[in-house]
Parts: sequence; structure tokens; C-alpha cells
Amino acid sequence: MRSRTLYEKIFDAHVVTELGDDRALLFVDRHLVHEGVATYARTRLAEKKRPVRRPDLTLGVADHTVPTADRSGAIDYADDDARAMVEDIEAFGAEAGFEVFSVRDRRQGIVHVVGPEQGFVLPGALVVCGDSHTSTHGAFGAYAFGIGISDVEHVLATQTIVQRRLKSMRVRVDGRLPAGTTAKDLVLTVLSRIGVAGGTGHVIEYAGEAIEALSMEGRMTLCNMSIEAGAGAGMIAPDETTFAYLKGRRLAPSGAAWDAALAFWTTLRSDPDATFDTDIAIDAADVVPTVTWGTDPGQSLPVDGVLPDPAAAAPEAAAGIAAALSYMGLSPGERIATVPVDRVFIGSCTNGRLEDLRLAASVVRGRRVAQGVEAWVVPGSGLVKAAAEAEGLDTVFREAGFAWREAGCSMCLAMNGEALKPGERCASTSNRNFEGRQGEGGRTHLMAPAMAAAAAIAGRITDVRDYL
Amino acid sequence: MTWPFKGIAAAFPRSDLNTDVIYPQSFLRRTDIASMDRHLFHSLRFRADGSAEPDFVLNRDPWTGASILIAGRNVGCGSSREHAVWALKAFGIRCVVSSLFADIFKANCLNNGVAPVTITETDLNACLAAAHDPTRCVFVVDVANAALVHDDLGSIAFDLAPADRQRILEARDSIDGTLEHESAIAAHEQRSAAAMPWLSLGGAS
Repeated sequence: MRSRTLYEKIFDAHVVTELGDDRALLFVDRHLVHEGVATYARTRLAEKKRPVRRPDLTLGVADHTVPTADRSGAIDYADDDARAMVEDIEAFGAEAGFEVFSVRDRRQGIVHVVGPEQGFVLPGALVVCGDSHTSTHGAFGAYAFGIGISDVEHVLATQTIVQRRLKSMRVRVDGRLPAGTTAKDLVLTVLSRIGVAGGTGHVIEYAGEAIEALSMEGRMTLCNMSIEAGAGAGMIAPDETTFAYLKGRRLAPSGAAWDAALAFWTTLRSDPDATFDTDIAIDAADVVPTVTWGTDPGQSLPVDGVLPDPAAAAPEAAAGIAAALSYMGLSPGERIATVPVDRVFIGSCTNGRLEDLRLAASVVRGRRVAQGVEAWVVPGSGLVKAAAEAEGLDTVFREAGFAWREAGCSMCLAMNGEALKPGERCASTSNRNFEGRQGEGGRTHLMAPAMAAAAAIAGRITDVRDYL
Repeated sequence: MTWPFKGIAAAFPRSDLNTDVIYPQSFLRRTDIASMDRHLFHSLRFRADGSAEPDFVLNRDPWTGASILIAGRNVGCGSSREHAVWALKAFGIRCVVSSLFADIFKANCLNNGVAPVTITETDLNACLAAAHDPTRCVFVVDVANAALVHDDLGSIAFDLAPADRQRILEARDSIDGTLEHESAIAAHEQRSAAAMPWLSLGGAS
């Protein structure tokens, strides 16, 4: 048999039937659904009287529109539409027979935090969700990708999805990440290397010593932002780190099924002589704390760097750089580490997990948020929040002047009404610094959790290594 | 919808145009798909007081009646929000032209009968230049023959896989098409349950 990549092996194992013209109908093992897509899919399926084929393989979560202010009493939704979406996914789950972690459930949280946390996502599985950051789940050696709402409807009705075979790219990261850097700095480095279209039409497999050394949280951060390179998926071959994370999770197999699964999972890797269409090599030792300065996630700098000058750039890049600087209210030649921030957002499906909160808390402990800065921690799930509280992290953040909030997507995409005001500048652990992403006219600088924590303390973008 | 069609093309040459810009998050809670055109390119198309931004291409004649969008490279990157395509379609856009499409955006176009057609960078620059000129901005989109046809530029071949062209032309419900493979789906379910029993759920509580 011809040598195959991990992606090709998972793809082949899920082919229901070949459709010609290089397309295949693929079986979906795991479907995550959130309220921002469920509303539309529910209505359209009902119109055609189509049942949900496999509610047992579907897990629903309310995350995009839920407010993250204290929810112990009445829930203060942005508007009736936000409330209706949450009520809709509750009703949809009840009538179709799939489990929904809605706003009152202690396990509620961001769909890409909750899925892995429950053991819903497994190596070798094909995972979809109506959200582009579904690439997160590739961290488990799953083939996971985001889809639009018509395709959500298609998966609900048929438990299948039509896909073409994509090209493959391997990103090898050898060596060890230096102290003060994390998977977030690594992925921002990858994005600045290959660009925001560098992965389009490809599935990226991450490999090498630095990848193997990452925790599952770090691997999820890395795979999460693969979509920011346009990649059809990001994935990492499962190993002992993966298996240790999964063992004992509620929806992961147990007993004899665990043993059988493990025997299979250990075979899930690219063949040694498999060929990739593109190979990228990065030396982990070169990775430094990294911050975005512009309006796409590929526009980043080392934290000690200076802002680019359009006049010194290649002619085809100059206008884009000038437009990004203008939107961001920044000047060429300015040091990024002097830029003051108004807001700090620690959370999201990229960096809202327990490890992220620990890293941020380690910087915050015993310090105070700078005057005039509004700093938030939004845990990725209710279980992350509870685990953090059990270690006293909430106290660390609160005593420093952070707001300690409920779980949800919140200000990563500001779909729940929690948003930057025009002109406000935010140090954010989220994934997109697009114009208006965190609120119309808002200015986003993406960075790692400890970097965002340091920015909150300093009141400006600063080098976290000075705080360790 | 009949194909081929002749329409006005609007040029929006910015590369890496993301779907947040096409359809901002403030309007993602709306569910009236047919009226999503009101929020298309909202931050660029409208001023803070709600009035139309006179310089924005879709606010200027003849492009207020555009049915083709000629975009820069890597159109539709970022969020999977199908609202971006719904809003384009509600405005009247039936074809998006670029030299590179983000994968999810392209799938969303195909699922809504909006033709996502890929041309070379050289052809794209020529099309953008033509579309900027109110006297030269009319194109014919001929999906069956995979060509854009323009009075001066002639016939420009585009890339859209045969199966995707067929989907656009037939406008068939894709779920109906898949359900014709019911026996193959059921067979896969049985194979998978036997070979990988750990993938089965339902016993969990």
C-alpha cells in the first residue's frame, strides 16, 4: 500500500462513497453544535420535515450569544435574539434527542473547550462544527474542520459531509520553546511565516520535538489557529500525552473499549515515507513572545520589535501595511512594547483553558492591574472556571483587579454584545485581530495569556519575560 | 435563476477579505436571511449615523445593481459564518470572482447557488480594472462553459470543478442528493460500529 499521511488515513477511513470529480461523501463521527447555528438549522430541517439522523453523535452547547456577566440570577442577554438562540438550541436538543449544555449547565462553555473536556473528541475521528475554530480538535489526531450552516443542516440530516481531498503540509518544529514562550507564540510565528492564505487548500500536520513536548492545551491552541492560515485542518499525531488527557473523560471509551481504542490510536501517524506537498521547518529556539500589530493574524512582531514602515516595504505590500497601521492608530517605527492598552481579554477557544489561566495568574499574582485598564478573565467553560477556583486562581485575578467572569465566547467575537468601544485597544488572547472583530472600531493585539496578563499590569504591551 | 447571465460587476480589490468585514458580528443574531443585505459590508458601507458612505462601491451607480463581486486574493477568509454569503446573495450577488477562495467560504457559496469562480492573478487585475469603469463593468457569467465573457477582455476561462458547476446549474438540494446514498451511509455505520466500537455513544449519561 502507498504511504499515506495521517490526514489521508483518516480521510480514507471515513469514505462512505466516492462521488467523482475528486469528491467523497465522508461519515461524521462527532458533530458539535452551538446556538449561533442551531437556530437556522432547526428551522430549515423542520420546514423539510427532516429528522436528525444521529443525535447520539451530536453535542450541543450555548456559547456564542450567552452573556458572561454573573449568571447566578437573571441572565441579562444582549437582546431578545440572543435569548431566542439559546432557547432554540435547548428546544432543538430536546426534540431531536441530543445533549445540550445550555447556559444553566455547569458544564457549559465554549464548544471547542467543552468537546475535548467531555472526551467527545477522539483520535482518528472526523469532527465538524459550524464554527471555523473546529480545527482545534485536530490536536487529538482527529480530522476536524469548520463548516457553514447549510452543511450543519446536511450533517444533522445525513451524518455525512462532502469533501475534496486537500493537499498536505507538514510544519516541523524541532528543539524546545524558550522560557516565556508558548504555543500561542509558536502559532503566531507560523502565521507570520506562511501568511493568512499559506494553508488554504491544505491540511497542516504539526510534528517535531517542540510539538511532542506541548500539553494538550498547547496543542489545541496551535491547531485552533490553523484556520488563520486558511488551512482545511491542523492536526497532531496522538501520543501518550493525548491518551493521558482522554483517559477517564466522561465520553471517552473505558474498559475493553479503551484498550481496543488505544491499540488503534497508537497506529495513527503519518507513514515515515509519506510525502507532504509542502514542508516547513521552524527552530523552536527562534520563537519569542509575539504580538500582532495589524489587522490579520499574520501581521505580528517579536515583542521587542518596531512597527513596519510602508515606505520601506515591497510595493505590493505597502498599501496593506499602511491601511493596517491606520486602522490600528499606530505609526511606523514605533516600538510595539510602548503601546498602551485600554482593555485586556483573557479567554476564548484559543486560550481559555486551565493551563492558560494558570500561566496568566503566575504573572498577575501579587500585582495590580494598571489604572485605567479594564481587564477580564472569561474561562473557557464552567468546568475550567470551577477547576481554577479550586486552585484559588479567581482570587489571584480578583485581588489584582481583574473581572472574573462566567464561561462563553464573549469578546473574542463580541457576538453576545460584550464588545470594545470604537478606538479602544485590547490585549487579547483570542484568535482574530480583524477590523471590528471585537467591536466596531476596536483595535486588537493578539498575544499569549501571560503576555496579556503582563499588559494588564503594565498598562501597555510589554515583554512577559520581565515578569517571570 | 438562469445561467448564463449578464450583470454588473463591482470591484473590491482588497486581498484577504475576511467574512467579519463582509458581515459584522453585531448582526449575527438576526435570522431573517432574505434581508441580510442591509448589513453587508456594514462598517464600510454605512457611516456611524447610518447614512450611506458615498465612496463605497456598492453605494455608487451603476454598482448599486451589481450581481458580480470581483474580489482580491483569498476572499472569504476567517469565520465560517454563512451570513456573509446570505448577505451577498440578498444584495443580488450571484457570482464572486477571485484568484483564491478560502475553503469554507467557497463551500458556503456553492451551497447557496453563488458561483465562486477562480481566475489567474493577471486576469483578476484585468477584470478589476474593467469593473472599476462604469462603462466597462458588464460581464457575462457562463458557468456551463467555465468562462467570464467581457466585451473588451473577451472570454476568460475560470476554474470551477465540473461537479461544482453542475451544482450551481442544477440548484439541487444537496441533502436530497446525499440521501440517495442511504444504503452506503447505513453500511458505513455498521462497518464503523464493528471496527471501532469506541466511536459509538449513546450509553453515556
